[in-house]
Amino acid sequence: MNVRFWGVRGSLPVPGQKTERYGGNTSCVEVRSASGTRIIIDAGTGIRHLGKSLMKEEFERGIGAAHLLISHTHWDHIQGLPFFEPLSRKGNQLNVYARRRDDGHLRAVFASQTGDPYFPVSMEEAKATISFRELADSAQFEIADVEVSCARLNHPYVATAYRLSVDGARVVYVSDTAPFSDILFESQYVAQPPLPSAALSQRDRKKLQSMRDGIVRLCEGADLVIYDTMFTAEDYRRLPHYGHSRPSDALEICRAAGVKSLALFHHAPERTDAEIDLIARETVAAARGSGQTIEVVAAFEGLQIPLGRGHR
Amino acid sequence: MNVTFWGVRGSTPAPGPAMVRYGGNTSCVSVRTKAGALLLLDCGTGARNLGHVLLAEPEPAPFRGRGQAAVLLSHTHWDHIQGFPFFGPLYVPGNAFRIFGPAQSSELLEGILEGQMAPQYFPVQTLKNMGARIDISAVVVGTPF
Repeated sequence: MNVRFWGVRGSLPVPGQKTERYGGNTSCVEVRSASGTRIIIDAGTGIRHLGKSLMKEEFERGIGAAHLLISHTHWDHIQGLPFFEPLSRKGNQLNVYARRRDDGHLRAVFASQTGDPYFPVSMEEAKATISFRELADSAQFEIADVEVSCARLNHPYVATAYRLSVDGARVVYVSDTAPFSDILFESQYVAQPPLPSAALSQRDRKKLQSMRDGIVRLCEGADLVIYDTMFTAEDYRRLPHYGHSRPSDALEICRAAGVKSLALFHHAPERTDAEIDLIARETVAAARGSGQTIEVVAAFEGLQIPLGRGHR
Repeated sequence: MNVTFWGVRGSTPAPGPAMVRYGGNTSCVSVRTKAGALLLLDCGTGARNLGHVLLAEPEPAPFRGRGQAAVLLSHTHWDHIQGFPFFGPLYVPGNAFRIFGPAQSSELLEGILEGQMAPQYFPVQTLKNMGARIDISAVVVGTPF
């Protein structure tokens, strides 16, 4: 399979000179199996460029099919979809997957993004066929030759991690998530950071522990884990209630799961290219520790990582 | 008065080396009068950088708790409002913003802006969690104010 990054940024797109090298588009990763199964994870603004590239292939002729896995529906993970050109061609097929919600159907969440008064073209006017499939927290299913497994993450309003297995390789997408230690996020709004001394209730601690176990299981033996490392240690001290991790959190999970390589992902909007370089260097050094070395890369737009057999 | 362009792009923010000179942020223009009043014309992603500048102003740094500004929205398509959740001064209690835009009623305009903040889309969940005072008024075309 081949993994390609089209958007690596969190929160909002950040154009400008200081983000030129890693790129300013929000989250979008493409995974293509050797046999040609096309999976897209998240639809931040990066998906606009993926769409342009797909329109140079079978999607231009209206015979393309893609599967879009959504980690959660915060803007930076869906805002590119209205600009995804393959939707404007009759005959193309897009299957959208995301976690089942308690408060309404997934289709409605997407439909209101493209409705009046926010966007001039409604989803109903898209010429391609769009289908929606709602997922349980630990869903497992197949998309053609790709095995997909899910686990829930610790993020406000809940996010889903995905593992894709195909061609004898495994890639896991873990974004967005806080560490599984200090706050349990459900649908509540946390206005203030918790006091450093605040103890978790037994119930919350248990739930976080089982969530962590689920993520470690999902990452077990993965060739590549793509992890939300939006925060520095200093950010996390100030904003533990914002639902994002540090590189050290990602390394800790990757070590526990025997992961081969880690891509730092969902970079903070204020992070400059030079700062990401530095974070990457520090994390590479930290990953050399005891036992097996984990290969570390800071994801950038255009990065391609071939895994397993027969990639193209 | 002084006019500053913070975002000049339509449709969607466009990061990338090919856009660096003109900039890739969506629509936001600020107007500062000689007397010091601040008006924003639209609130695309360019507003985020304006917010940073306002919060970093030297003392008396009005937008760290006593700032006032008006935001005039041309319309509520994403590229004209998507910077709103990322405009830092809105998160500072004591600041006050008046928002004007076209809608059938002020309640409807508020609903449109609330829609962008809703929990399925944005973690702050509602304008009320932002901190600053926000007054929203629909503009009736042909009626000056």
